[in-house]
Amino acid sequence: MVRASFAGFSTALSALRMNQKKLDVVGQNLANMNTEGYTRQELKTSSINYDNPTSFYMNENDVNVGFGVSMDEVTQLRDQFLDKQYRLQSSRTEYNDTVAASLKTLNAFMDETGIDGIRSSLDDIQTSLTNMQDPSKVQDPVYEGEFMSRVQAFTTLLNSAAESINTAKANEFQELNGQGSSENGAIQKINSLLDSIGQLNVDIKRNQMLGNPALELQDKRNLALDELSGYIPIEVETFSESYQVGTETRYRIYNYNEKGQIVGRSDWPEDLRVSVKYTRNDGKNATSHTMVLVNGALDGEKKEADGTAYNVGRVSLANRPDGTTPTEESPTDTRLTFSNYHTRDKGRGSESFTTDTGASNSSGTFVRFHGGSVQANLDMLSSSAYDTLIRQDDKKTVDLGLLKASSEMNYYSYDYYMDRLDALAQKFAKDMNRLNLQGNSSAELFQQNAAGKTENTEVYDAIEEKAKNGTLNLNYLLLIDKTQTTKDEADSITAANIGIAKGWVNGTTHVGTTGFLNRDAAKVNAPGGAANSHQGDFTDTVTEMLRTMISPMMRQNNTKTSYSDYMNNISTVLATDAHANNNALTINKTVLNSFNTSRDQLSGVSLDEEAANMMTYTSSYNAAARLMTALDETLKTLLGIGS
Amino acid sequence: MRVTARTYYQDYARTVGELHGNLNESMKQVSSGRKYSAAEENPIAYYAGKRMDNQFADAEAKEVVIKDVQNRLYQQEVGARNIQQYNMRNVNTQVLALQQDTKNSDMGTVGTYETQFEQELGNLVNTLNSQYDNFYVYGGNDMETVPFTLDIDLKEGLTDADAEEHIDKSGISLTYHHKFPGEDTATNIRIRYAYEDNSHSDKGSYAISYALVDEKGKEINADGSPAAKPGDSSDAALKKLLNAMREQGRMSTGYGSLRDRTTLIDTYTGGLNMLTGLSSDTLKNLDDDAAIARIKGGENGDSVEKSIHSKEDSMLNSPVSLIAKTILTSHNLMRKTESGTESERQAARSRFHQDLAAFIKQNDDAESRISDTYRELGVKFAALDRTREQLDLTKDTLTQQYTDKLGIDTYDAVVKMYSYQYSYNAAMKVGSNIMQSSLFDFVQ
Repeated sequence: MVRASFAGFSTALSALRMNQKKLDVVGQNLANMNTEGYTRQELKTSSINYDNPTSFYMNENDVNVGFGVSMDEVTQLRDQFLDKQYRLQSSRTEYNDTVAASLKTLNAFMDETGIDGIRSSLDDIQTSLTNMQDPSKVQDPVYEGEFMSRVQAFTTLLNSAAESINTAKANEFQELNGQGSSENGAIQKINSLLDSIGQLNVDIKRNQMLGNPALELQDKRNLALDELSGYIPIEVETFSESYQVGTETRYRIYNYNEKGQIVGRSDWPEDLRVSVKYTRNDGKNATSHTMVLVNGALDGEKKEADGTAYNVGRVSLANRPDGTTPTEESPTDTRLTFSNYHTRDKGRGSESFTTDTGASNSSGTFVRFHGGSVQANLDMLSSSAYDTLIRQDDKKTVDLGLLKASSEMNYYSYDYYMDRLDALAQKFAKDMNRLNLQGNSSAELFQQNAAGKTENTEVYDAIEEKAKNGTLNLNYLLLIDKTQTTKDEADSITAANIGIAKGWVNGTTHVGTTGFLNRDAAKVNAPGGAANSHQGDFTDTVTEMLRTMISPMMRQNNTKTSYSDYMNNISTVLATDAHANNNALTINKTVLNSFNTSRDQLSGVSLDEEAANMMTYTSSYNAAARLMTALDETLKTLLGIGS
Repeated sequence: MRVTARTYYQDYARTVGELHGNLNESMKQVSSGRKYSAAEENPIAYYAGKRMDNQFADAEAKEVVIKDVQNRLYQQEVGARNIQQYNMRNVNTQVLALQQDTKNSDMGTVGTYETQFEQELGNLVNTLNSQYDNFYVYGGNDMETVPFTLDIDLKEGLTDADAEEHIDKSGISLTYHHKFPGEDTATNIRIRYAYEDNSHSDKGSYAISYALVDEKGKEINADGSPAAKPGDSSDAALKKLLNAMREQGRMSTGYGSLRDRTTLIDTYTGGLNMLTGLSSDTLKNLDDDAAIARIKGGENGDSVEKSIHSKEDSMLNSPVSLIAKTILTSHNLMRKTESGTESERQAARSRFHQDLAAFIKQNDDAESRISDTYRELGVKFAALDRTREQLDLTKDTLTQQYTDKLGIDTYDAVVKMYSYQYSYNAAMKVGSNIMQSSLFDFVQ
């Protein structure tokens, strides 16, 4: 075949254009070197040559030379498997990260490494009682005043701890549901991420159908997916729209012949499907499930009345089984409902699930995520059964349930710490008030003996009842529920409301010095009912209080421990949780970083590489231009023949 | 491996950040001396550390208390020693002298001795009212109530009295004022020592009557109403007295265990317990009737002093009773010699000799009873001394344990700090050298 005279020019021209374009891509890469989510681009080229085989009759001296270079497409350098690993890891890391932040707020007042907190205030109380047990000091108002102020410090610290836990709970709830606050919560964030992924699916597909790979939009979508994976564990997969031909399902990415056999790939772009992964445990078996949250671009342009596109799912706050709605004021046991996209045959919400940490069911059923900040928030807000499982009234619990809402939960929730502080406040107040009742009522005890009560607790219960209903005028309460403003009451003390009795502050109530009567139960029912052999000592109440301070008073698992050790144990449980979580966080972060580095090594911009490319393309460009000159010279030579 | 711009900077920044963190941490350790700055760094060490904090605070509080208790015990001990060494010994010496006829034939001399006896008894009661830091060391903790008052009520003779008014007979009363636990007002218990027999005979004996009285000294019933006749409140008074003598001041000082309060040191010695030699524990272990019998002491009988067991721990053998006896009998001798009939004079002299002889016999035991008290107090004092030393040792051990568990090894920490500092500086230096370089820097 005869070579066209100017053929070389178009080859050189294609090379010039190609190199120019490649330099443009280098420019784009360099410009976006620090753009978040940017993926390194590359111009794919191919050599242009004949499409058909050379002719049999072709001149034998002729050889086949191509016509230059073709610019095929600009592509991204990205590995979807690395993305998958990164997102999985991101969920894990975010879970630990969120838990770490929550535990840190608790640590601020429970970790007494650098501060004197509740535990050390108990030491102070013990010290002041040690001073006060001296017979020469037991009735000195100065020592009682000191004791009172130490007890007050303890109650104030309990109050502020309870308040801090409540604030932390409210903040945790706001992290889930930011409605009404200045920042969006996870619910709003997830919904808006689903919206933007759904919209990007539509935009990308539209662009791709027109031949534009929409790389920047894909970057945006990848960023959104990365962000979403921090909230909930997700699975991302590509799929193609299908259609029915008779009974046969066909996919738009393939071309089919008349027999329905696949004969090649069409230009129809693939769709991207995002599913949330969760576990459902029915108390016996745990099964993994997924539910589609973004179904590609399908029906993405159709909108519901509230503006939600058909192709995206939704997440919202769910009511508890008892019908109440979690709020910022009452965030314990918050649940979320996830529902899938609007399907063509069943509409919206054909599939849905509600998270359940297992906090308020006894069946052991729970629905939870493997990771993500949402699960961390839900775990921290789950309710603990500490108060019902570990009872301070020495009544045994038959149900040996979990103190954590579910067996898959790694850390104790806010409610657990609140329950334990409540138990401490209640038991401490009960013990101290009871001892002070004993220390103030020896005269009354004589009369109670006649009633034939044999057990000490019976006698004091009866006296307490009389004091409460007003038939006996007895000031004995030292610790009260301070929300009760009309009179001193101690029936429903919690860490949040424990306070010093007004009577104690005003000086109408004192630490009892009537002594404990030595009751001999065997003599109670004897004629005359004289069950008391002798009067006790002034220091009886204080000494018993001191004994209480060092004795095992608080039930904790299967053992009993002192108030101080109990508080120490709460702080240590928290410290252990924080320690374990920090370890997990460090490991998960390291792994995440390594995935990030791997991703960046593939998709990031390397200055060295771009500089090398720049030099290469400049040289190639120069060479192509030089080729033009060479061709021009050859043409000149040709034209100059015979001149 | 492709080195991209972002990874490069991120990795570098992370490394430098970590090194800086390490440096900061080790600097904190060196400055605070603490191995951990948060419980989560080592929860078990934290737990153990806080338990030690509790033990340390407990030991420290007890040490402070022990000092005070020791001072109080010392005050009691000195008081008991004074009573024995001065009051009782003096009276004893004087009684020995007075036994000699050269001394007792002149009533002026007898009168002088009697005055001395009265003074010694007054001093003794004064000692019983000793105070330490607003606390009556022998009388309980009510600061407003002075525990002991003495009333020496001398008539013409031992038995001279209006027959109707039994109380007006010569007698010496020690009244114990005590506010009992749970009561708003003080109870006054009068312990009156007097010659029992109304006849002018020398065959009678001395006895003690117990009564509850009001502030003016009038006998009252337990409910506060006036007593119908003398002696009505006797049982109630003895019951109250028993309660008072059973009072204790057991304290947790590191000696013994609070879980069994009987193992704790009783830091309180009641004045009446000291005088009678009946400890609160002894009385606690007896039932009420037996305990009251022990306090009263003696048996009914007609021969003088026969009924009194000289060695018996009881109110009848207390130094107050003994000295009271010397006063009463001296006074009786004096009055009867001066104005009595011959038979009365004879009876009085006979009585006098019997009483002084009985005194000598009884006083030795009474002295040893008092010295038992201060020896016991001395033992308690020494026990508290040892306890304090032990607490000191506990504190030292705890400090050592604390350092082992939670303290840093200073040399190790300082070396670590310097090594982190070098790494950090080196990283910064390397960073500043290579941060800018890429192939671009070499492209012309």
